[in-house]
Amino acid sequence: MKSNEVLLNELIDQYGDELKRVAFLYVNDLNQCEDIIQEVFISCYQNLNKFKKESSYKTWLYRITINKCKDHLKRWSFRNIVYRPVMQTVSRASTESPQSIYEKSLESNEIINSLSKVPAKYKEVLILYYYQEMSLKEISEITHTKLNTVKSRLNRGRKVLREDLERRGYNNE
Amino acid sequence: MSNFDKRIKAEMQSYVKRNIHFHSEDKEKIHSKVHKKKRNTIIYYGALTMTLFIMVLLIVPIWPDNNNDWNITLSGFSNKQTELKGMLKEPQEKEEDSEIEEEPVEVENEPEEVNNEPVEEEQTEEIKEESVTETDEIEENKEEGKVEETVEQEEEEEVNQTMELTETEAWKLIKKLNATRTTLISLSDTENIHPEVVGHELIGFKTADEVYALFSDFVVKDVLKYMYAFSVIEHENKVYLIPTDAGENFYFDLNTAIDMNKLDNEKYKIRQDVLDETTFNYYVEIIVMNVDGNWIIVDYASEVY
Repeated sequence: MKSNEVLLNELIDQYGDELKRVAFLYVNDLNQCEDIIQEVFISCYQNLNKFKKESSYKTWLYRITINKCKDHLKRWSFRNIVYRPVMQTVSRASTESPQSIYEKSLESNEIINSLSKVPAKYKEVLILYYYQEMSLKEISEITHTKLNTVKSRLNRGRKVLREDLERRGYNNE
Repeated sequence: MSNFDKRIKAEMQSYVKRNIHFHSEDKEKIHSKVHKKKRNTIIYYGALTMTLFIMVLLIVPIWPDNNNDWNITLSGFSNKQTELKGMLKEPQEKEEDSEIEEEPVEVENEPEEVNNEPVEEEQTEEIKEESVTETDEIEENKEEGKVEETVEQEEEEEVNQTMELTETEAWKLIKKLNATRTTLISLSDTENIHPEVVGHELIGFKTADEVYALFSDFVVKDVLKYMYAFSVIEHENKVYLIPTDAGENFYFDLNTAIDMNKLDNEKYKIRQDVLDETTFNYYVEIIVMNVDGNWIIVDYASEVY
């Protein structure tokens, strides 16, 4: 039987990237997402003995991440304090020049910014649907909501995102 | 999936995959935090355990327990009282060494007196005063112990001295033994004689042992039984004195001497050979032994030759 630390290492190696990206999409702040991801794995380590394996580790970790992101936003509404452009938040993670990044990610930034302003209950569905390419069933399992609710949230979230992007001048075609 | 969905998906994935990575630094941070949490947990439970242990240590001494003679005092946690108790118990140990049996009773009572003192402010003052005189008490106890030791030695010497049976004491014993016959006669109903046993009733006695018990301070019962085997008779729950010869007596008015020989530290043999040409020759012999400081006749023999 694996010790908890060995198992934690394996989970970090396997899901660390994906979870960090999900957290970033949710909070739109690199520092915050790092804090969140640390909390996620610490919670995971502390609760490994309680994990009943009724779901996969992946589903469990995504659920923890989403919950931690929600808690983080509730605790500290950082969006209202200072304005931080996306470029600033991701600059540390990039090896390319700022000019190049700016050019390449101009559209992406708009999408990420718009996504960060979508209400939380739609945002989690949109992230899991667009980025993780999860099925609606998987999303309902992770978010603990009914399938129909997931469908309606996806539709409404998509609509909110589209309207926001259109206001920003994003070309859908 | 519409074109919008496809574009959003592609843009989102390319953006985060390009910019967001899980670094080894993040992993190290997680591990360090996990270990820190673990260490903190150990410290937390350790501190909790220590606190509980200290609480128990503090509570147990003042916990009311009827089975124990624990008395709550104002100075419950100070060393003063324990020191005081220790001081009071010290003489007991010394006395045990010197094999004095009576003192421990007194010593045991002293701590009780201290414990039974009322819990008032006066007590602290009293304890202070007592602690001031602690050394004096110890010295006094030591001196008392020495005095008692010497007293005991003197007593032992006296006992050793009295182990020597003097001639005067020996003659007293012989005279007492001779007088038993006279005493028995005085206790008997000399005016009436019982026809069946042909003897006088010893009034107030039901057994011969009761009669012999009168003389138990200087002669054992078996000696008297031997001497009065035919003189003191039990009959129908009464005791009778038969007017016949009993054991032979010692005589001081004869020419034959009474010899006394020491058998051992506690035993003497006293013998008289009576040479009487008009009747017969016989000897009478007794063994005198020291029992608890008293000389007692423990054996008797008399035979004609």
